Amino acid sequence: MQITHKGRTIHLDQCMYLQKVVEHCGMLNAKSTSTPLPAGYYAAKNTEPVDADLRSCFQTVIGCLLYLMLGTRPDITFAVTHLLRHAMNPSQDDLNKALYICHYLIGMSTYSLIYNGGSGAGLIACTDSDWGSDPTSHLSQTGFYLKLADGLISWTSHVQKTIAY
Amino acid sequence: MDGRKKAHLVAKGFSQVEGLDFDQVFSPVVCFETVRLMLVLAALENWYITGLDIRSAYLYGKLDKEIYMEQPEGFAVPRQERKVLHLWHALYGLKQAGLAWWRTLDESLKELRFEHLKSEAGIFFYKKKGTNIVIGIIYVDEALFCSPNKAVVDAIKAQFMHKWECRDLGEPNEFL
Repeated sequence: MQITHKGRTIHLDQCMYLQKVVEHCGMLNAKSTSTPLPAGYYAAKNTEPVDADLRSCFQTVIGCLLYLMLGTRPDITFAVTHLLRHAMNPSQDDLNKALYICHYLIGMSTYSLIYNGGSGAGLIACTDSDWGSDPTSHLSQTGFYLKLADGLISWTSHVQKTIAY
Repeated sequence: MDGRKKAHLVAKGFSQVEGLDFDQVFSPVVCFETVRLMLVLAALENWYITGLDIRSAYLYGKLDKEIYMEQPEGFAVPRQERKVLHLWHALYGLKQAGLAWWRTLDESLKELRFEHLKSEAGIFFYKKKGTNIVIGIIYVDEALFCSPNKAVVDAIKAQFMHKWECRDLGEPNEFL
């Protein structure tokens, strides 16, 4: 994680790490997409037996994306956690969608978290959830973020534990 | 990389027996959230930030168990090849190396009047009447120190670097 500290502003980014991940995926000159996942996409559960090579490949990619997400990329939180549910038995489609996130990151590769100590912005918390968006389990998705000094410090996106549908 | 030799001696941690050679292996580290929060605090208060990295940190960890190791192949003491080594400090590969290092670090920071938070064992507070606060953010072998007073934090950093062999990162541009 790179830190750029100038006066009362601090930038955090993982651009160098992201570059390595993109290289590792062999996507150096790949096109970018404007969203982390296609609109309305739902990752269906894989019913095929486990393919060890595919799983290992998927876990490598999603692991890198998870590290980025936890560090400085709240924008891919939903996409990463959504695909992570199938980490034990991913399908080829799951792997393609993990690479789809990489395509998105290529287009937004210079994003960073910016904290402005002089902004006067206090602690801001936002939360939202949908209503039973998972078509098979009818569980809802919840997320929140916390903002301080005009930059995000904490974020999450997860499936609720109880059915509210 | 940075010119350091990358080959090193590791212990065969897989041969360790729980309860006999080690008890706990959990080692506390700071989470991303806390690191970001502390950096924001520094931005809000316009604090000075300085960083360092402790060289081969795990090798400083003091062991509380009696552990023996075969002499490494090719480096056995001549005519004493049948003897084994008694470890005083941890080696990379030992199950408890991480925890042993954290305990050693915690102890030595206590001597410098730092105390770790109960809720986040990688955050250390320096509180002394009459001087400014210093906050240490330590992730295994990487450390950041923040304080409103550059002189105070530099003095503490010098004391810290006297205890351990460190690489001074100055005003840091990288962490974790």
